[in-house]
Amino acid sequence: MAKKVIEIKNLNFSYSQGVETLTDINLEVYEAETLGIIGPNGAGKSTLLLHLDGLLNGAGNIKICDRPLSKENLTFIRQKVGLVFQDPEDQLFMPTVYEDVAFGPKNQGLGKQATEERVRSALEDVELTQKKDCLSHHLSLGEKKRAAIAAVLSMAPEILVLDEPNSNLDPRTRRHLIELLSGFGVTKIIATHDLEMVLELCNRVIILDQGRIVGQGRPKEILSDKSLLESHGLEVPLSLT
Amino acid sequence: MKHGFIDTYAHLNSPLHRLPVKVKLILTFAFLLLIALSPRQLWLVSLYAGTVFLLACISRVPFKFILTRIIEALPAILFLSGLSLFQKNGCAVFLVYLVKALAAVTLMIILTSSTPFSELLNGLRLMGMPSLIILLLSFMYRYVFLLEDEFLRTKRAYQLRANPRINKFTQVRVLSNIVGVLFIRTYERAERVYLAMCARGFNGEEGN
Repeated sequence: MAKKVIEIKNLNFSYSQGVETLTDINLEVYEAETLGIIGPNGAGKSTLLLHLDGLLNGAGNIKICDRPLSKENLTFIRQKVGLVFQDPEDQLFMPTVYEDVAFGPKNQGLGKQATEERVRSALEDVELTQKKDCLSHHLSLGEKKRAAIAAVLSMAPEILVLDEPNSNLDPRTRRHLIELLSGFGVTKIIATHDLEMVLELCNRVIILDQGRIVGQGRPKEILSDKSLLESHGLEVPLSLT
Repeated sequence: MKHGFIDTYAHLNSPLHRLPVKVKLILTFAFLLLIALSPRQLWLVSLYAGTVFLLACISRVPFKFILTRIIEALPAILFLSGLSLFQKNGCAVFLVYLVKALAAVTLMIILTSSTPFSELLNGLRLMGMPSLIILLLSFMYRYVFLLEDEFLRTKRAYQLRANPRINKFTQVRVLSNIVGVLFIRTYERAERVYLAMCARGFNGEEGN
């Protein structure tokens, strides 16, 4: 049995009084697996992801790599869990691509040489080496998405968490990104509406609706369950019909 | 979208552009000090102004661009040096201050328009400016473009649906609404950017 890297028990969270955004979430994620999180807009997918990095604090127990999510462990956990935001404009906050990718390693206290090495290999992983001195606002959306991933990869995380990595991408760029992602050996958690990608990349998928996990299992089984999908604002992907 | 207000002439090829940024910064600040501290002699400050003019020629940055920048700073310059008119011999002092201020402002314009902004920040960092201030400046630089884009998009969306016979008063009201919306969006983005920073181990100061 593979090692458990994330363990969530009875997680509840609400942004404002009375409205539950996440209700009774129980979830385990194992080393090297790729977990898909699907569900309609506003289901709580992003909210759940923000919890994995301790950016939101709901009631319940979260353990990352056997350490409970607490103030003392935040540095450790944020190094283990690399979170890629949905909008790369939020994630790329430094002027040039290089500075952005170097931001994480610098905060980890790495020296100049180690930082440079991390940046180099991260940019190589996302095939963006030539753009390292470019200003972030001059990149195309596909490049911005890849730069955002590099900015997280450079911290050498064990778990890569991606929030809608391929929204708004053209087919070729989307294909490129999927191929990049499938090449990363780390544990991956991907929240997305792209069900075809889930079929391709994920070993396991959960459906989130109104803050609850309403279904989970192997992608092929879950994604061919027409009545389950349609009752939660989703539909069977074309390749399974 | 195209942005024309930062770095427009930062990649020209001139001796000033080729100078290492650290040298450029040190020379500029030394020159600024010299201008600020020198005695109130019109011939002396005119000499400085001439040198600055020469630098402007060497930099190859178009005069029109420099002039528009100077005009932006002119109200402040006129107001501050104008205060010296209210004293004995005021006119001469006023003239000296005016030339001093113009020379100093033009010098800064030449520095900032002949250096890419990120290099400028790098130079300041090398000279020991606190990293938090550098970080703030680089955020300003990074997001000013985004803000402009957002403003243009919102304005277009407004123009598409606007009634052309709308009166001036309503126009101002709509504009203030747009500004309000932009403020809220910027505020929310700031929250998300902060989360993104925390997620990458930021704890108040960028490590070196």
